Amino acid sequence: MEKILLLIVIIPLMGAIIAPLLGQKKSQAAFMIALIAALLSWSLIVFLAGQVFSHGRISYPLGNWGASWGIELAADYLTVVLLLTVNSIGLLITIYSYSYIEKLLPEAKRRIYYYCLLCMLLAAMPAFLMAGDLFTMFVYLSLFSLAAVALIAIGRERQAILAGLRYLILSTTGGVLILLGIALLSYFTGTMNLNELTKRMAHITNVKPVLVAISIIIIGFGVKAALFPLHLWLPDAHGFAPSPISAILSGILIELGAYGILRCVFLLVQLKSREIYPFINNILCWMSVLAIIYGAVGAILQQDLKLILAYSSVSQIGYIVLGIALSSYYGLLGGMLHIINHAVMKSALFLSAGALLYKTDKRTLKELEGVGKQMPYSAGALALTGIAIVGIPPACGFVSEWYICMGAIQAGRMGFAICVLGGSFLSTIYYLRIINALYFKPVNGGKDTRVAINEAPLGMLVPIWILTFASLWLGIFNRWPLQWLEKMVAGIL
Amino acid sequence: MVCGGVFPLILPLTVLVSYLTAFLIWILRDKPAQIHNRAAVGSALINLALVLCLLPGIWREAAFSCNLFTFIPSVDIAFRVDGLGYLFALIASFYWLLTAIYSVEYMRNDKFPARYWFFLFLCMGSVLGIAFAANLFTLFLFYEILTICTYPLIVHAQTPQAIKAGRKYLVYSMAGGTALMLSLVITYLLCGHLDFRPGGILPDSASYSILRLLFITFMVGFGVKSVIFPLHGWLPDAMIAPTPVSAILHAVAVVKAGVYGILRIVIDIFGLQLLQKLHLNEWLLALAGITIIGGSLMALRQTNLKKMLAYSTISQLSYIILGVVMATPSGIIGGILQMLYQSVMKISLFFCAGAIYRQTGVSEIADMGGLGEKIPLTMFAFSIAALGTIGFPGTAGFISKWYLAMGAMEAGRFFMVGVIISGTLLNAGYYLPLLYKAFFQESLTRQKGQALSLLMTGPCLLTAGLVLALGLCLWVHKLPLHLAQNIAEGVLYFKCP
Repeated sequence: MEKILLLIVIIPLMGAIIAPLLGQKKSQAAFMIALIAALLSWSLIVFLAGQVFSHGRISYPLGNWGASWGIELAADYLTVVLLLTVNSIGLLITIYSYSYIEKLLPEAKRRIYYYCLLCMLLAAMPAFLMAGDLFTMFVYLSLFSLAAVALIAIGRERQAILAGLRYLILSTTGGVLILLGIALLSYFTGTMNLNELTKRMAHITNVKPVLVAISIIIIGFGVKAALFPLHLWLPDAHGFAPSPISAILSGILIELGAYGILRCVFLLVQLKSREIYPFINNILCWMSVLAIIYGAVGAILQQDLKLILAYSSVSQIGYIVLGIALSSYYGLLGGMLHIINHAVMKSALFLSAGALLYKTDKRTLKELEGVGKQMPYSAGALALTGIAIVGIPPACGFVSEWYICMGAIQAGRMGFAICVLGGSFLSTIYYLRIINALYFKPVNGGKDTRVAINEAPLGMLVPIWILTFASLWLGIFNRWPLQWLEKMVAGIL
Repeated sequence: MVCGGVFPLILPLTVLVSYLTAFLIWILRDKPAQIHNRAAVGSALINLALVLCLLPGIWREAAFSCNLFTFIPSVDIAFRVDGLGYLFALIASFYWLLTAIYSVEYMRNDKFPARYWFFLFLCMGSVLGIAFAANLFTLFLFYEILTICTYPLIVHAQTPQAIKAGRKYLVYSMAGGTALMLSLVITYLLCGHLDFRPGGILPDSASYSILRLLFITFMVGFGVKSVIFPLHGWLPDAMIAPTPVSAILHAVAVVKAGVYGILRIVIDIFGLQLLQKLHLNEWLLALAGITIIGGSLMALRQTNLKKMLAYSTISQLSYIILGVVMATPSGIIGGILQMLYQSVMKISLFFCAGAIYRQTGVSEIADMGGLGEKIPLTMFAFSIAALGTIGFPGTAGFISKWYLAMGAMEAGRFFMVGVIISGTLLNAGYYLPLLYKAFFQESLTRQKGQALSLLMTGPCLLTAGLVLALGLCLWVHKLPLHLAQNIAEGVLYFKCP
C-alpha cells in the first residue's frame, strides 16, 4: 500500500530513462512513453487520494530507516490535493506537447530530449510534494530546477537561452540558500523530518538561530517561487520558454516554491515564543503585497501576450504567499486554495496563448488583433479563464481571493485586504487589453472581412478546455478542495 | 408566509431560460437573423409569463425561496423573491420583451447580431438573478456577471470611441466591484452570514467607525451602477452603445440594478434604524440631492439627445434613493413608484430617440427643428414621456413626485421638498425647449422622415400609452400602488413575509 508513494516517483523516472533508449529513431515512441508514464502516475495518485481521504495520512520510510533519520515519503490531505492538481495538469500538458513540440523542434532527437526532461519533471514534482523531510525536498527541488532550465532553453532561441541561464544562476543560488538553511536547522534541532520538526518546535527555547535558519530556507524557496523582489528570472523564462513549459513553470513550479514556504510557515506557527516571528511575517507580507502590485502593473505595461501572463504570475504568487504569511485561519486556507486555483488558471492561460502562438506565430497584442475570430476556441478559453484570474465570481480566482481577503481582515490587516482587491482591479486592466485585442479592435482598419476559422489541433484544444472548465468548476464547487484544506489548517493552528 | 410547491422553482428557471437562450443563439450563430429574432422574442415572452405566474402570491404578500447550493459556509447561492425584488423583475422582464421586439428592427443590418443577442440575454439573466437574490452574495455574483456581459454591448460598434467608452465603463464598474467585495467580506466577518432580512443584519454593537466605513464601501460599490455623483462619469459615454442597449441597460436594467442594490443595503443589511443611528441617512440624502440637481444641470448643457437622456437618468434615479431613505410611508411609496415609473418614461424616451435616429438620422438636439411635422407619431410618444419625466399632472411622473414630496413633508424635510421642486423645474428646463423646437420651429432640411415598421413604433407608443394610463386610470395604477404599499409596510414595520 505505502509503496504507491514510491511508484508515483519511480514510474516517470523510468520513463525518463527509457524514452531516449527506445525512441532513438522515432520521437512518437518517446511521446508515448511520456504519456504512459504520466497516465500511470496519475492513476496511482487518484488511487492514493482515495486512500488518504478515507484513512488519513500515509507515509513510507525509504529503506526502513526510522523516520527521523531516513528519507520519508508522506501524503497528507494537502499533499494529495496538490498532487491531484499537479499531475492532472502534468498529464494534460504532456498531451498538449505533442503537436506543439512537433512544430517547435523539427529535429527528432531534440524532441526525445524534450520528453525525457518532461518525464523528469513529472517524477520530481510529486516527489517534492510528498517529501517528508527537508533534505528530500531539496534534492527533488534541484532535480526539477535543472530539468526546467534545460526545457526553457530547448528551443535554442537567443532570448530563451539567456532566460534559462539566468534561471539557472538564480535558482542554484536559491538552492544553496535552502541547503544552508536546512543544515543550520538540523544542527539546532537535530532532525530534518518535517513531522519531527513540527513536534520539536513547541519545545525550542533558543528561538533565534532556528528562526534565522527557517528564514534562510524561506528566502531560498522565495527565489523558486519568484516572490518579489526575487522574481527577476521569471518574466523572461516564462515568456520565452516553449508554451507547454511556460504552463508548467507558471502553473506548477513557482507554486511548488510557495508550497515550500507554506511548509516553513507551518513550522513557524508552532513556535511558542513570538519574539521575532511577527517581524519575519511582516516582511513576507509586505514582499507579497509589493509582488501583487508590481506584477499587475508590469503586466499592464507589457505588449507580449506571454509576458503579460508571466507578470501576472508574479502578481498571483503574491496572493498565495500573502495568504500563507498572514497565517490566520482564512488566510492559510486562501493561500493553499490559490495554489490549486492559480495552477489551473495559469496553465490554461499559457496553453491557450501557446495555441495562438502555434497557429499564428504572433506574440504581441498588436499583432494578435482580431485573432478571436480566427481561433474562436483557443481565444474563447483565454477569455473565460481570464475572468478567473481577474476574480469575477463564480470562477475559481474569486474564491481564493475571498478567503485571502477574509484572512487579511481576520489578522487585523485591513490595508492588505485593500491591496489584494487593488491587485484584482489592476488585473482587470490587463485582462481588458487582451480581450480588446482578441475581439474588439477593428481588424483591417474597420473593413469587414470574414476571417476563415483556423483552429489549433484537437490534441491542444482538449487539454485547454478541460483546464478552462476546471477553473470554473473549482470556483462553483469550491467546497471539494476546501473541505480537505480546512481539516489540514485546523490541524496546524 | 413562504410558499412551497413548484412556484419557488420559477426563480432559478427564469434565470436559466435567459442564459440558455443566450447559448442557443450562440450555437445558431451562423443561421439567418430571423431564427435569432424568434428565439429572442419567444424567450422574452416565456420569461414574462414565468414572472407573471408569481404575481398572485406576491399580491397576497407571500415570498418564494429556493436554495441551490452552498458556496461559502452559511452563504448559499439562493433565490428568494419579495415585493421589492418582484417589482424589479417585473419591470425588467416586461421591458425586456419590448426591447427584444424593438431590437429585431433596429439591429436588422448589424454586423454581429449573434454576439449582440448572446450578451444581451446573459445580461437579462443576470438582472433577474439580481432581482431574485436571497442574499448579498447571490446579488454580488450576478452583479459581477452583469458588469462583464455589458462590456461587449457597449463596445459593439467596435470603433475606437466605443472601446474607450467601454474601457471607462469597465474600469468604473470593476472599481465598484472590488469595493463591493471588500464590503461583503467585512459584512460576512461581522454577521457570519449575508442573508437579506428586513430591519438589517448588521449588529449595532459593532464599532461605528467600521460600520460607517462599510457603508461608504457599499455606496462606492453600488454607486457606480446607480450613477450617484461623483461615480456617474461612465454613463453618458456609454450611450455610444446601440439604442436598444441604452434603453434596456442604461435606463432600466444596469442602473436599476445599482439602485436596487442600494435599496437592499439600506433596508435589509443596515436597516433604516441603524442608518439613522449612524447619521448616514443625512449623507445619503445630501448625495441624492446633489445628484438630482447636478444631473439636471449637466443635462441642460448637452447637445446630443442620448447624452441628455443619460444625464436625465442620472438625476431621476436619485429620487428613488431620496424617497426610501426619508423612511416615511409616503416617501418609500414614492421611491418605489419612481423606480417603476422612471423606467417606463425613460425607456419610452430612448425608444423614441432610436426611432428618431432611424427615421431622420437626427441625433443632435440642434437638428430637431420641425420633427413634430415630419414624424408626428414618434414625437407624440416622445412628448408624453418627456412631460411624464417633468412630472406633468395626468402622467405617471406626477404621481411618484407627488408621493415623494408628501414623504418629504411627513419627514419634516422641507429642504428636500425644495430639491424635488427645483429638480422638476430643471427637468422642464431641458425637455420643454426640445418640444418647442420639435413642434414650433421650422425644419432645416426638406428631407422627409422615413416610414418605420410597427416593430419599432409599437414599443414607443405602448410605453408612452403606459405613461398616460398610469397617470390617469386608477385601476391601472392600483397594481404598482398596492405593491409599493406592501413594500413600505414591510420596510417600516419589519414585516417579514
